[in-house]
Formats: sequence, C-alpha cells, structure tokens
Amino acid sequence: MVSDIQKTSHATTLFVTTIILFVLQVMVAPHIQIAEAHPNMLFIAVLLWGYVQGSRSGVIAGFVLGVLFDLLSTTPFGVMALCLSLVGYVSGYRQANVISQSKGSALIGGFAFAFFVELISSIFNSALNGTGSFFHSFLFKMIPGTLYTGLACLIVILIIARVLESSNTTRYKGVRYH
Amino acid sequence: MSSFRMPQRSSRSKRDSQLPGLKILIICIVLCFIAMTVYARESSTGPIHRVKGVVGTVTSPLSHAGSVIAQPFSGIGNVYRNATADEASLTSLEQENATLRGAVERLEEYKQESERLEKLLNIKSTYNLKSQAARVIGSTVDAWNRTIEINKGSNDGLAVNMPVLNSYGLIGQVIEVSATSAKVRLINDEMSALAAMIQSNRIEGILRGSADGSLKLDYIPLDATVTTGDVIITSGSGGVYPKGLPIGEVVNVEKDPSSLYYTITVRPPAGSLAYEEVLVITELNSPDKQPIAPAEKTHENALGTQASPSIQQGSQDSSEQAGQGGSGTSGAKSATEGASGSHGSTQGEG
Repeated sequence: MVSDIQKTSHATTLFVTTIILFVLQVMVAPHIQIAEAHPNMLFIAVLLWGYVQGSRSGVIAGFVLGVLFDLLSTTPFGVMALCLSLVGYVSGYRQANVISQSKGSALIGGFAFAFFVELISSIFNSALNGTGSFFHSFLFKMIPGTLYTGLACLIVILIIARVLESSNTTRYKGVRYH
Repeated sequence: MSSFRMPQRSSRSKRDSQLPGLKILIICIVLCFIAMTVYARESSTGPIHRVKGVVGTVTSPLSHAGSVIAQPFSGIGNVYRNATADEASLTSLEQENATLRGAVERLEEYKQESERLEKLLNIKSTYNLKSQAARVIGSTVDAWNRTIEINKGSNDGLAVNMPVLNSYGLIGQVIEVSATSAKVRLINDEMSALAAMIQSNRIEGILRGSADGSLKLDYIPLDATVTTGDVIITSGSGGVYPKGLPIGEVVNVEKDPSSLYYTITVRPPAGSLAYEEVLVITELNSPDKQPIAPAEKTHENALGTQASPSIQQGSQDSSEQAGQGGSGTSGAKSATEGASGSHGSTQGEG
C-alpha cells in the first residue's frame, strides 16, 4: 500500500495542483465558455484529493474548495461546498490512490461526479432561487457543464497520474541504489 | 462496567476505520446547511456578503489579468470572419454603411432641432444619468448565472441594484459590490426580471431571462398589437431602471389561445453581447434627484421589479409625453457618450 513518505509527496503534488487549478478557475475558466458551460476546476481538485488521499482528505478539500467556489460565484452560498464535500468523500470511499491503480474507473468517475455536482446544484438553485424548468436546466446547463468539466477532468487526471507514477518510480530507484 | 465498555470502543474504532472521514463529512454537511440558512436570511451587508466582497477584491487582480490575456483571443473569430468575407458581403456592408451615414445625418438634424425646442420651451429632461464607466474584467465562474465582473466597486460609488448599460442599451444590474469590483447580473439571466414596454404602443410587461439565454416579454395582453421588429425599452416602473433605455427588439410573437397573454421573444441588438466597457448608472436625477438606494437583499431587489407588473396610467401618460424614444433615448445616448469618452476611468454625467 501507500507509504507515509509517498503520501506526503502526493499531498505536496496535490497542493500545488490545487493552487494551479484555483488560479485557472479565476483567470481562465470564465473566458473559455462553451454553450453556457464553464469547466469547474475546483471540482477536479477535490476529485484528485479524494482519489489520491482517500475520503478524509477528500471531504476536507471538498468543503474548503467548495466554500471558496461559493465565495467566488453568485450561486447561493453553501451549495457547492455541500456538493464538493460529498464528492470528496465518495471519490475516496473505496480506497485511496485509485488514480494510479485504475485510471479507467477514475475517468468514468470524473464524468459521473461532474453530473452529480450539476444535478445537486440545479436542485438547490431551483429551490433557493425559484428559477426555470428542470428540463431547460438539464439541456442547457447540466449536460454541457458535465461534458466540459468531465473533459477537463480527464486531461488533468491523466497528467496527475503520470506525475505521481514518475515520482513513485524515482523514489523506488533511490531506495534501490542506497 | 468496564467489561461492557471495551467491546463498544473496539466496534467504534472498527467503524471509524471502515468509514474514514464520515464524521468530518457529517460536520461539513451540517455547516453547509447552516451557511445556506445564514446566507438566505442575511442582508447584503451581512457577514457572508462581506466576506464575498473581500474575496472578490482579493481575486479581482487575477480576473483582470485573465481578461487581459483572453482579450486578444476573443478577436480571433472576428479576424477570421473579416479575412474570409466575400465580395458580396463587402458590397452589402458598404451599402449598409452609406445608409447608416445618411441616417446619422438625419438624426443629427433632429437632435439639433430637439435641442432648440428644448431650450425654447425650457423643458427639463426627464432625467439625467450620473454614471460611472467601468471595464469588464471577467464573467461568471459557474454555469448557473449569467453575470459579469467589472473593475469598479464601492470605492467608486457603486452599490447593489444600480443599472448597467453598454453602448447598445441596458445589459443588467449590479448584484454584488466589493471595494474594487462588482458583479453584474445580465438581463438574459434566468433570475433577471425588469419592467419593460413596447416602444410603439407603450404597453408594459415584464422582461425575463431564461435558461437558454433568450429574453421573454410577459404580461402583454392579447388585444395589443405586437409585431416582429417592435423595439422594447425600459418602462421606468419600479424606479430601478430609468425609462426609455433600449433593450432589444421583438423577434417572435406567439399567440396561445389558452393564455391571456402573448409569448414574446426579444433579441438584444446585434453586438450587444460583446461586453468590454460598460456604464453603471449611479444616480437617477429625476425631479426629486434621489440616488439609487442600495438593496437590502439582492434577491428581493431582483424580484422587486416584478412586483409592479401592472400598467400604470400615469406612467403611460408621461411616457407618451416623452414621445417615441424622446428623452429616454437621448438619455441613453448621452450615457453612451459618457462611456466612450471616459474609457472606464472617470465619472461623468450623461
């Protein structure tokens, strides 16, 4: 299983990735809109924490980054914090380090969780703001949002999986030579 | 007693190891619901709104940097379209240009005539627009709202509820203000609703945004005459938006026999969705010269304009007095001049 040293190293990688994704969320995401959809970079960061570090870290990352997202956006406060806390927990529930062991399920999970976040956001937004029909939200917001965030997630997960694998390989080599 | 406690401890630790983070999750969920409740109940000066303002101020340099980086790329589409324009398009554009030049000359004549008459009759303009020009530095970070972020905030005199224009007409309303930036809800946002009227027959309705980004004009009775191409302007009811600001034109009119009202789709003017510089109306200088009051609650104010859907006879009379795009249109025009002259830095009175 994953050693403590490895976990610390992964946490550092994830911390740096989270900062990069946060900057991308503020700087880039608003300008790369496709059909009303923006990629949710903070969701991807939470997913990575859950996948790599397990559910406990996932929940904490989900709550903190969700609160940050709510502070940045004009949606009702607390909705994204709730969604991302749940995503962080469930993504790391099965086992930690899913990302290295089963990339396929991690990627499918990315799309599934993105849809879950869109669905819960839609329900809460409709309930708290009293807006629009569910069908319209589904068609114009949930589906494009899920696909866009899912695709962004796919790219980031593949990059991070590679980075983590390479860091593991370097460490094992170091151990062998000593 | 102690023999009973031991198995309990072990089963608890076993459960903790099986469900790591469950306790933290439950705490987070409870905190989220508390936050939602507090946010829904607090006013726009409440603690969460204040923290939002601070976060907006802290992240506004990043948003600004993002918009500066993205600006050259936003022009790529236009460059491509211009480069690939065929002869027919260029000829048609030249003809359109000539027609528009003629129209501008005629309008200039009308404007001078109007100014002379205004001086002669000493008619005070229905309102003057005291405004603040701003630059758009970002848009919404989520798919659920159509909002933009501008580089002016409470330090520049902006407050929640103020109307926002671009060179084509009304585009939205300020919903959140931090010290150096503000968020503007666009009129085509699902939560947006404002009192509007058809310019030709002065009938008032409520203009709403929708999930697909189109604008719908509600509460126009079936006995009214509405045709495609009719211009929609703000009615001034509710006191949030000045009267006569252009919003768009009617592109589709549907008559449902089971309904008392038309289903009217309105399209904003071509190019009005390209927001770079905007003008925030900070004060409506109506006869009593009252500044726009900051909102108690954003959501309530968004709905505040909905609260007066009825057609006010007095308002209709005064609008007829103002004439077809009379003072209202001139107000909008002067506001536009203020925006182009100030380049997002000075406060001007339109």
